[in-house]
Amino acid sequence: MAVIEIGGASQSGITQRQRWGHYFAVFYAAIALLIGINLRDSSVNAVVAYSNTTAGIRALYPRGWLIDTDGDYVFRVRDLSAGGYKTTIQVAIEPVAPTASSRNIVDALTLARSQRVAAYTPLSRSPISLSDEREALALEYAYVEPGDNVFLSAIPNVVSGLDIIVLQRGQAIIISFLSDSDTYDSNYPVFQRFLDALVF
Amino acid sequence: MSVPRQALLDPIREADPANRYRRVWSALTVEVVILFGAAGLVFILVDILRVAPPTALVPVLSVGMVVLPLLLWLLLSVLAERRAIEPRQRLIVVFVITALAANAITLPFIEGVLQPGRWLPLEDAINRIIGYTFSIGIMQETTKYLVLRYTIWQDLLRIRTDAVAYSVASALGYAFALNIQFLIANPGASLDVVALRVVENVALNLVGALFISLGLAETRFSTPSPFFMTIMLALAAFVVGTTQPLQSGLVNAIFSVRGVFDRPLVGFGFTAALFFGVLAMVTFLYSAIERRERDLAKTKDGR
Repeated sequence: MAVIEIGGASQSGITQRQRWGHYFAVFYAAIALLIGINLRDSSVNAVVAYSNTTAGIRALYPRGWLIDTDGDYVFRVRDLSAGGYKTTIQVAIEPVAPTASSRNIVDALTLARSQRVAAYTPLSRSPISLSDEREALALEYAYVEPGDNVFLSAIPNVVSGLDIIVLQRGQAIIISFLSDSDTYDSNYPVFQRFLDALVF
Repeated sequence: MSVPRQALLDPIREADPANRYRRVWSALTVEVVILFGAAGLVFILVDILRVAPPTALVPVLSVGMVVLPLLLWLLLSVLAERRAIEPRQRLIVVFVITALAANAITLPFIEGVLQPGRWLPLEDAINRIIGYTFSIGIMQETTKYLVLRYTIWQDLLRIRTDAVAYSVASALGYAFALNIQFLIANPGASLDVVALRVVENVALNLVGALFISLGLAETRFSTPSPFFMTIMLALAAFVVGTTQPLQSGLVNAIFSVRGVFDRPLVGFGFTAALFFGVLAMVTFLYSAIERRERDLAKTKDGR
């Protein structure tokens, strides 16, 4: 591109060409920064589709997380790159009696976990509405995870958890989010996106 | 007002423009060679000869390693300016402003918003290069560019190598902020790790700053395309973006059936080759531009 200098140096001693040179540089830096933010967003929010026709569940879980379908749950995904406790999202289905309420499920979960994990403490329970207007119960809790290696000298992790419990067709769908309590707030948006995209 | 002694005692020397200003290239080369030598010595002592400094002394030596580039620059460049007939006045100002801008704005923005550590290590090679270019690379080089543009570019660039001298000050300021943050975040880091990290940060910042200096000098003294500064900024960011994943790939331990082997010397060698390669290229470009200008001036005088 040819730039024709009409006025030459201005009063501030900068020519038009120099001025445009600096404008272009700053403009490029701003655009490059926006590209960087966009790249970050598309990478951090990238997802992988999961579908289980037997359980009637479709989900989008974060790319790079490890999926596991071998436990007493439909599936579980874990962020193995997380420091401390590995952030986990899990979907489980439990058969329930037609007369059972969400409160019964919460009590059963509390009893089971208090025997399985250390210092299990229910923090709160509250009714919520999911993005598709379905009613659900949110149960917040915390417990202590001692770590896998007993020979490592490390302070145990405090895990914060959130269960979303939905009753439908004689089943309780329990969607759990577990995170190191230090990073719970920063990881929560990941779970929120997962929950919004979950079809069951 | 003090008058430089040389101006009174040696008018012939003063008449030659090359003698009126401190020589930048030789001082920069000596500073970096000493820095590489010191880091190499620390590596040989700690990693190869297994000389273990007293635990209480390691933090002090680590701080010394972080301050070493600054000390070398103060001794070989800033103090040397006092002996020049026409010294560069704002070297320390540029250093301080860049360090403060990096520490207060750029590094918190990179860590808090761009968060390259959260997504780039998991990407493939090409995406990592693009990602680092448009995150760390562009932020780092834009910070240096803006500081130089709004502190010295308009009034204090008298010859082309002024741009190099001030860009070096800016690069050292940015690297100093990076090194201090590394030391605070890793108080237990061993001395050889600190030494290698300091060298990498300083060399990589100097490489980017050399491109920025070329853009600033040309924009000030010639009439290049209005896109020249943008191209230099993009090139500097790209070099930083390419070097980040390459360097970590070279330094990181390799896994094999015989065990795990770390190879910090490969990264060290890569950093040295990159710095001296870019230095040679940019020096050549500067000298070619100056020679061309001298030829043009002679041609005009001949007419």
